Amino acid sequence: MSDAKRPDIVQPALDPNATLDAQEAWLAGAADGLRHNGLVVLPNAIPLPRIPPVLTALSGRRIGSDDEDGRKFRPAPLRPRVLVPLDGPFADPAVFAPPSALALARRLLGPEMIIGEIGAMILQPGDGPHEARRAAIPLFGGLDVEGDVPPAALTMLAPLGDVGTGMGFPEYWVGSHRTRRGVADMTVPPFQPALETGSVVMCDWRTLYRAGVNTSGATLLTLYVSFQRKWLISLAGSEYQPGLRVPQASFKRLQEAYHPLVSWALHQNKTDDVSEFVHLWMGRAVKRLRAARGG
Amino acid sequence: MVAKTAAVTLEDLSRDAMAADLSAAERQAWIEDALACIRLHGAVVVRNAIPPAVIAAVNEEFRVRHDVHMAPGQKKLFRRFQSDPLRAQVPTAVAGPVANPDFFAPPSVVALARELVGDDFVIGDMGVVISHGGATRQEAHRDSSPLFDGLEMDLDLPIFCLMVLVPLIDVSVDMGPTEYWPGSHRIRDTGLAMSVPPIQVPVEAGTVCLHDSRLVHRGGNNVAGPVRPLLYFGFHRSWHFDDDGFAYKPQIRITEAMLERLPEEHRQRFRWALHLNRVENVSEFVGLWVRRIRRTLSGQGYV
Repeated sequence: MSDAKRPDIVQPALDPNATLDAQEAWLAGAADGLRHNGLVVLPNAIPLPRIPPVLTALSGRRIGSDDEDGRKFRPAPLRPRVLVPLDGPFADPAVFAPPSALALARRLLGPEMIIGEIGAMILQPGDGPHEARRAAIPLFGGLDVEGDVPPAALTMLAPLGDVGTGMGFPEYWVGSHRTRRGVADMTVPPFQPALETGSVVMCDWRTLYRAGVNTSGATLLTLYVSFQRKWLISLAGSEYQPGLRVPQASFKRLQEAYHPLVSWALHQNKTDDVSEFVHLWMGRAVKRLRAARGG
Repeated sequence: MVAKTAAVTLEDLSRDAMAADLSAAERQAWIEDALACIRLHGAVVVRNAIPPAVIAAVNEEFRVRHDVHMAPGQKKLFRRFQSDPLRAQVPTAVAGPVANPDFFAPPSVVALARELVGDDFVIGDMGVVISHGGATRQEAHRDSSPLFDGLEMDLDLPIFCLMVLVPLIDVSVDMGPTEYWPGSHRIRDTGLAMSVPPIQVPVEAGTVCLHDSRLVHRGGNNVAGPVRPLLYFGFHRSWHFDDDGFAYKPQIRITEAMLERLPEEHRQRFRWALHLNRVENVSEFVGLWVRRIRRTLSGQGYV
């Protein structure tokens, strides 16, 4: 049996028409799988028609866009990471918070969970290999107890195309979220998910992973969303820049049920400096002008 | 556990501040002793942690900067945190005498904070609670919510937020000093933790009370006055953000200009909060600058 078929790791997507009991059973199974393995794969989590608009929106923001955001981190020259505003096709709940992923995140992180970051990774041909790492920061100086507590954050990775071997998509050490930093057994081969468009990977932020080598000759765009407990501010690499851009206008358009996930970030997109303020509004004016011209 | 808490006295919690001329070994011994106290009882009281002149300067400035809350007989002691109309809670600007590191980061306190919440700790909330004569005692409470949904293991975890209380005047028993339930940071059931009487902590100005944010405590009733200002700081692990009750105000008032005026080694403690003090729309922005100009022209400082 291939890794991708492990019953605990690959969970069928939640059927919204299922009975409450069936939904609860699904949730319990998926949560157990994630607690046990440190990740789960949810096939068909994002409806296929929702993906092309996201790809189109990202196509103009490939390389160098993260510099415009003033963000310091770029994991590798051929693997830029860009922040995407919660706007346009990204503001579609089916994309940034698919029902099965959202339900699972709420089960594991509690009802007050927030979305801390939304962005895209651009895996270009020739990228990799990379060092194995964890997304988590040590909460208590790396004590053993950090492996025992429930997750503080879950990362959702949603490839915007089919993922085969050699495309640079991350590979994961199953169960490593429970091990201390630096002592995970890396002699065990990592799990390499093979995914179809619309699938998402939900991963405990402590799980050890490694971005693979992209030998495919093609670029893979992957959306990432960080679901996290509301008290977690992970500043690693972000230099106090907001991890989530939420324009007021998009926030107003967003269904109210999703407001608690992102409202925390509204103030992060504000300024108290005259020049910054003018710049902010000039940017908005230019954007509207371009939109009016159909650009 | 409960039987133990009943036997704890104020003297058990109290220490003199670390003297400046201690040897490295003596200094380490002082730190270890105070750490053991706070881990066991959830609190430690450090006498003479802040020089009297430093405290007096802050107190004097507060009578001007926070006149609307400090002057007796005020009607608008509003803040969502405090249900008692005679007790105000307002965030404090990191400016003037408050921005003196001898005040917000005295050596004894910083030495303990580094050990308890990490070298890179941030000051996550900062303000003043001003209780007037007649203020009743607060409801007993903890200063933080559990990290992991209130699981049993939440109480076994190391501390993630160290609260620092700094009364600006001498506080006698009838002025409503802070009351602690020692050991309650490790007791999940708040009712059980409160089954013994609390310890009252009357102090002289310059004393600093530190407690684990999970400790059950309350402000006492200020029977007759005078107006009693108490500064509070939350020293948080760098990843911990607390927005409970802060929906309508920033946890800290700080601007770029205030940050620039701080000694460099302290800026990282506050930098995270800059964005909380920003605005987005034109009217909010104009309002912010009009307030600043008015306060500057009236000699009340730049807030």
